[in-house]
Amino acid sequence: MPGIGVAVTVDGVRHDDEVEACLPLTHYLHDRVSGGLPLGCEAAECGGCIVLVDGVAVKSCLMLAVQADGCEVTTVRGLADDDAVRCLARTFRRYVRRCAQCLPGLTVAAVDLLRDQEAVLSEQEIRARLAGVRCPCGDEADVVRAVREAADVLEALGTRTAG
Amino acid sequence: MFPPRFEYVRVRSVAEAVEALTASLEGRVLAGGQSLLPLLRSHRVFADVLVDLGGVAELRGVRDEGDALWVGALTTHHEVACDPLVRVHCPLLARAAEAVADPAVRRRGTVGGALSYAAPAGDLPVAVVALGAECRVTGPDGERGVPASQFFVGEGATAMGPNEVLTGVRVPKWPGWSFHYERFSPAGRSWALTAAVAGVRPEDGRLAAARVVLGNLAPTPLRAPSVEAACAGLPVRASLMRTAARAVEADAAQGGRTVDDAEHRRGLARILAGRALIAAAGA
Repeated sequence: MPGIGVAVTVDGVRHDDEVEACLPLTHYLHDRVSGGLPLGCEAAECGGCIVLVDGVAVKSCLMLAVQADGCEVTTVRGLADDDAVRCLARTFRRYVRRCAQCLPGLTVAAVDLLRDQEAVLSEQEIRARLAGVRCPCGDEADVVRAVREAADVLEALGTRTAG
Repeated sequence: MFPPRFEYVRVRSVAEAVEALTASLEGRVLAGGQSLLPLLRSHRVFADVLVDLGGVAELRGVRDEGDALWVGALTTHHEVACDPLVRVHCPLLARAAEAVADPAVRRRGTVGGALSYAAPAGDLPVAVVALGAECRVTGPDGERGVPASQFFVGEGATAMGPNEVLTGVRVPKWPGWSFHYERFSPAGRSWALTAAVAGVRPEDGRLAAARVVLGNLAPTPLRAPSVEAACAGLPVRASLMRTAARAVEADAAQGGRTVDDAEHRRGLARILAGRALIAAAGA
């Protein structure tokens, strides 16, 4: 079966490729991102494959590479070096002990949540918003703590409105 | 990878989609892919052609049609949950869309996809049946409407033909009514083991009418006429509505399926139906 032409921007770099229709976006990204990305559970359970597609956090194992044609994809490696990412990296290092499978997606989902100025980051809301990450390596308690503390720091810096 | 391999067609209109399906052997419509891709991966579904509706802009969004809202098949759960028209006129639909899976899935998963998937544990099928919605379907012979109560015919099966495409749902506004959705998920899971929708029309402190639909008790959403009858004319009091919800047993005996935990689910359904009635009536 002939390949299908796609143009996908991954972490700011445009790739023009020919892919097979059945190639999951997770596998496509795995081959395009320097240093590689873990494939996760590939069953839409662990959430480790969460990336931003045109700025929206989605599970890349539930997308075909052909569906990302013309889209801008941001993986954990391409997250901008802004205050939110730096604060979260610090609190994640302090509290979060997760496996290499789910950590990349968890980080992307947490950054997406932290950047959402509308979100009121109560413990319940953080749990609800990160419900897509379900890995047997841990529960959400550590992540809730990390996100909440990062939000506190950002609020003190004035880059996030208190909530 | 998703073996076995398939061909991929991106269409620009519903007519093109129907054409592509008709030309295929075992074509499948791809919308958000949140249900279809896992099915393909686990080999529970075989497709020789995937017809990607993603580019059909006309199927996206919510329109006010006077006495009803039209919700396009490609509208995502997230969009439905946040839509101001839906929140004002069909808050139950927003609530059900909000309950689907997790935030990442709700960003890509679509209303049309969830209804076509017809999962017994789905949140949207119970909601559209309770709201008496009409599913708009287009096929080789043109467009038709299927009442939601007849749209679901079995586990993962709908009244649509193999070459038909769900284009949207028309959801009546139900002025004077109040609906509520209750669901129960097993620990650590996002799907509903059992769910219940209750709608009531209160009048002078009594329930003039009620509609109750139960989810995941049967292969398709199960209407509960015995509970509805038990509610008719009842004073708006929590204890009375809780008692009325006991009639779930009679309804489940009519249409419930025989699974290992059927008794557990019936018990849940009774509690959820009671809670939904109480919340809907504001007792």
